[in-house]
Amino acid sequence: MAKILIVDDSIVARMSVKGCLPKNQGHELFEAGDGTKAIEMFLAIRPDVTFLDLTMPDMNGLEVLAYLKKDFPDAVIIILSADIQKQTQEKSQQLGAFSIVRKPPVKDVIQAELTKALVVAGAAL
Amino acid sequence: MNGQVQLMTALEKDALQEIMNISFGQAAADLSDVIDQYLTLTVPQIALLDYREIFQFIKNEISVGNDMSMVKQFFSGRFSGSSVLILPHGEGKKLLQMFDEHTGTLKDSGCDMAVLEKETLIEISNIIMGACISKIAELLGDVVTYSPPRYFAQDQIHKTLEESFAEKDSFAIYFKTVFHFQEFNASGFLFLICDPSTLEWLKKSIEDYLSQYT
Repeated sequence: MAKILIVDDSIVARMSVKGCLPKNQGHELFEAGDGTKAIEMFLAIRPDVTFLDLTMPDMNGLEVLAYLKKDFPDAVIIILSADIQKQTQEKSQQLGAFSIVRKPPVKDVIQAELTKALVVAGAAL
Repeated sequence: MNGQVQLMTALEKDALQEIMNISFGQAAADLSDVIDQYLTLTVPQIALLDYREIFQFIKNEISVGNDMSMVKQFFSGRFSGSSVLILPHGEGKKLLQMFDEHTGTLKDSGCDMAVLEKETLIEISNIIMGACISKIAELLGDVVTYSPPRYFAQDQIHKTLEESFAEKDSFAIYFKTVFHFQEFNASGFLFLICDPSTLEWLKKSIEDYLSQYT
């Protein structure tokens, strides 16, 4: 059982990620609708794994990633984004993203990334 | 936005916005590959508007000057309408410069610069609009066909926009995003205006799209 934080300004995008996650592993799911709330929630719950969108109003995902990785270098953050430019992927990697997954989320891909991320986070079943 | 028509639920609009976000992301990646420039995109905005208000909305969004370029293209399928890409303040010239830096072929072609700027804009618009609309159609289970893109400059733009959206007693689905070429400080606007006949199909397709995650 792990704590998973889903950050996206779109409720549908958050629903989509939740719909892709395994239902039988007892994970606790948390949601944030913008970058500022994402940081607040991260500090409050200290998730094992975070799914983070990039294109968000105000504080974008790269800013959130940079902020969190600075104070929490071990944070396991999976970027889930529609921005699939090479430069964006490179920036995400440089900032310490665990992996980059393109939208729309696909169940097999999300579950495979989550499994790998939970191992790194030390929260694997 | 004033003048919005309430024909979609908040969840349907959010789903459509997310689909647009994915589609614009595809368009940005395709264009970034062609011109080797990093693009940033705003979160797409969506509204259902009275048809006659579209022109006013577009006018309010962009700085209207004499140095504007616009490419318009129709698409048809179950998802159908028109796409309009506008680059204010002569940014077509910057795009030509970017395109030429990447391809290195235009300056020595002997062609008139105005013609090259026009052709570059049409080509770049074609890439953006094609990637974006094709991705939306794909995500919603449709296939669209396109009319050839048409180029408009300066004073033709107002007249064309006004005529395009003069249809009475109807509404349009209005999508807008701003894309910004980071290294060149150039921005453009992409608007998609869908036919009202698209709405019922769109609502059903959104329902189908969402059902894969429930």
